[in-house]
Amino acid sequence: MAEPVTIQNLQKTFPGGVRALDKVSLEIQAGELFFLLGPSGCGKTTLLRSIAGFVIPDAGSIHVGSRDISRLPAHKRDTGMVFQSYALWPHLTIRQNVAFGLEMRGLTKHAIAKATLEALERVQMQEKADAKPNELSGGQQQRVALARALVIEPQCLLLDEPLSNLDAKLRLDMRQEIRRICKSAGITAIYVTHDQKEALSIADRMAVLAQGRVQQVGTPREVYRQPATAFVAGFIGEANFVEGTVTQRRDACLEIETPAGILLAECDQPFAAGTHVTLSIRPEAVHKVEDASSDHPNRLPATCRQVVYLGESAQYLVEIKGIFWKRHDWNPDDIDRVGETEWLWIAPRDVVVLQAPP
Amino acid sequence: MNNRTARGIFAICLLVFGVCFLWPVLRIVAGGYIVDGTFTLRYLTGVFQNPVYAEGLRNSLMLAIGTTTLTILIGLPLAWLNTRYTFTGKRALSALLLLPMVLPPFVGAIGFQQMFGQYGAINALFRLGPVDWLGRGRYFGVILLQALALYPILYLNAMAALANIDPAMEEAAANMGCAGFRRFRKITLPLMMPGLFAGGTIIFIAAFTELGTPLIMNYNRCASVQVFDALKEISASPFPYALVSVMLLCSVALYTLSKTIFGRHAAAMQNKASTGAVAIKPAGFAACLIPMLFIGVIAIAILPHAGVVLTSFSAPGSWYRSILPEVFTSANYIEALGHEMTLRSIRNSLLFSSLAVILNIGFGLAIALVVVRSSLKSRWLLDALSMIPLAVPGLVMAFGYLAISSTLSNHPRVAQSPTLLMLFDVRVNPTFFLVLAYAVRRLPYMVRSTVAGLQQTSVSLEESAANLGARPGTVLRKITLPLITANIIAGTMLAFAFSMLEVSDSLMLAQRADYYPITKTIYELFQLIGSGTYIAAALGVWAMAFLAATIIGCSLLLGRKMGAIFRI
Repeated sequence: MAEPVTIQNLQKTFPGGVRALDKVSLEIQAGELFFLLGPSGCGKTTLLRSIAGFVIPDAGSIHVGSRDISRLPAHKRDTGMVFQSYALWPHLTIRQNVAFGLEMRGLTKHAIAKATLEALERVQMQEKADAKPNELSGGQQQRVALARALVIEPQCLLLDEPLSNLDAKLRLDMRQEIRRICKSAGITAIYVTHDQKEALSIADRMAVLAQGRVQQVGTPREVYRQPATAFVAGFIGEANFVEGTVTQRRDACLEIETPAGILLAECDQPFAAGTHVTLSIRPEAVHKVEDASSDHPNRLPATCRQVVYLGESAQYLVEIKGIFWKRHDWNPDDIDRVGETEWLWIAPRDVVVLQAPP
Repeated sequence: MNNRTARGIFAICLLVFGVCFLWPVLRIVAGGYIVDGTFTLRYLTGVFQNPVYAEGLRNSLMLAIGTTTLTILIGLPLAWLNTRYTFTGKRALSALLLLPMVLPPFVGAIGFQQMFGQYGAINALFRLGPVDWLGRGRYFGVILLQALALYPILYLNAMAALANIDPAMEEAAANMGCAGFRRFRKITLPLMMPGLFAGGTIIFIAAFTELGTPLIMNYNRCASVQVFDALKEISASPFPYALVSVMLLCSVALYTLSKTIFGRHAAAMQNKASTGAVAIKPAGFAACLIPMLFIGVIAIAILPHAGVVLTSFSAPGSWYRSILPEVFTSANYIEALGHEMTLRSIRNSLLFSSLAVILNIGFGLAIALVVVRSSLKSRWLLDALSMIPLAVPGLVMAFGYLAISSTLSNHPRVAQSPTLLMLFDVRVNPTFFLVLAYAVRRLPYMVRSTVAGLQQTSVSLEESAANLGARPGTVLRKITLPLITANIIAGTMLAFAFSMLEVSDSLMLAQRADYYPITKTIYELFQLIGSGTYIAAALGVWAMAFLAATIIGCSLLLGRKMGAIFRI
């Protein structure tokens, strides 16, 4: 049965003073596919290895359901883990690899054989049961590693960058496959990655980490559309940042004075007039005014400075009153020319107001 | 390297290999199986039917099994502890653990005799009266001496094997609920097997054919000593040939077995480790126990050699029924360096070893370049051939060279030419064959060391020199060689040091006192009544000091890669 995972105030400092986890607290719900996302060195793998029992935190607690596993040795934690290198034992066959955890649990030979076969069928690897790991492709090894972790019916599944060793095409296929398998097993899964697209495409919810701290927890849509910090906005997708000062509130919007001009931003947070803020605007939220007579808000005059055509999109670098912004145009009919002047507009709901850095 | 050059080097190496290696082996086989022009298995079956030879073979086999088992019992736990734990004095203790490599068991046996003799230090220490330990336990004495000298090879291989295991492999086992000794047995040990077996094979072959230690220990009922004793009959009887061919067959079979079973799985770690292994600091009792274990093994391992040092400093006859010598003197050292026989032997050893090392550098570099830098499809063959001397015991090679020398010197053209006799008759001058034997035996160290250097050096460094107009020779001289200097020096030092203290070839091929190398002189001195043992001990200490300096220099140059040299 799926169990929730609760992490409270987890701290870890490695010898040499590197603070990998800084009071990390998370509530992961039962049956959820939860992502830990962040750049290299943000602490996400340390957090995952703390849950598995391979890193002993300095302080804090980890609960799976009502069970406190913080001080248990790794082999008593009942967390199935998929390693980045898969860690399939090369001296054992695929069947023996998958059956290993069941043997450790003292199941009968018959029960082990049945469960192993079912696990291999679930990942469509039953035909390779008697092969050795080095006879399998990367994707196949990945599936076996997943089967091995799931067959013991762990209380939660831990995945450490499981797709990082696969090529781009296979990575896309395996993303959905992992989600399908996790959901069919109905298990709580914690998935570490630095690939934002992987997280956005299959996560139920995610936590973005930086420098050992949780920056934001939310659904992919929340994290992308409403980033809580400039770091999150910059790490998940691309963003144009512009500093500004709140001048007044107009209904659901704030009016903000920026070097690019006055901008309206939908915002329900109580920013007072005079507050310094940072605005985050996605490049794809910056549109070109096609009809000069239309009544778009946040109209800005711009000059096109650079064009990159990518087929499905065109990416522009535009200059607005001496400031350079990125603008993406999806499925473009026409391509702007360098030096061309134009009017751009942004919907107020796409202007995200963030606390300015102190 | 272009294919034409590579093919040229390949052909030359193959030719040299054929003459220096295949010919002696074939000569042994021919000597034992082709008698008066007809093929016969009479002498082979005779070896097994003759109770003396059969017992010798059985005893040698038991010596090898016993030695290998004991080295595993010593080396494996130490390697495991060293990889898993940090403890006080770890660096120093790990280095000292390798000390027996510089202490040849052949020399250690002299000290061992002094300590365990009827009137030796052990009986004096425990006030036991004249208990004849050596008479009762000569066999175990040989095993103990050999194991104490050879365990570092297993230890280094086990360390390398452990370092090669992705820590995630063991973590995955823990994650599945498997921990402690069960995890070691089910996951760690099987993954270590290729490395362990590689080290074990070298040890087994070395112990199976070791000549020096049983000789000094006066353990004559083993095959190697029987071969040594039968040298007088080399031109008269096919029996020694048949006996040597059985030893050769056993060694090659074991080597092949090790290669075929584990060779394929050597690259089993397919994925790069995602995390590094972290050594833990043990708590409480274990924190004291681990360093104590290391110290204990080191102390026992150097005990025989401590005996040699004490012998070398004791006045003749003064270490008798006492724990320590009663009269200390430095006279033995002065005599060891002042005696014409010992001085000549040092000169001889230096000359033979230097010439052998020059051959090693030339061929080692050429083979390594073909193996690493050419695209010849058959380059693996050259790599494999250059490693075979590890599988063929020194005793067998020496016997083969003796047989060739005997054949050549009986050839009318050689027999009539004093120059050719000087070259080819070991009874006149063994320099040619000794240099050849030393060079062939140590070639694997040179090749492995140089191959490692080339593999670690990006080929683009050489390509960029070529791109700027450097010819292949210039690239080699100006770029490649300077980059792999450390490896070449390390290989050279090892080859040189081991040649200086080579036992089997030296004892068998050097038959005239004028051309005795150090080891043969130690053996001859040891057999002299009176002060001979003491001078032999002093000469042994000189040799050990020399070897110690070489190995320390070598480990400083190679660092952690030292283990790679002692693999097959």
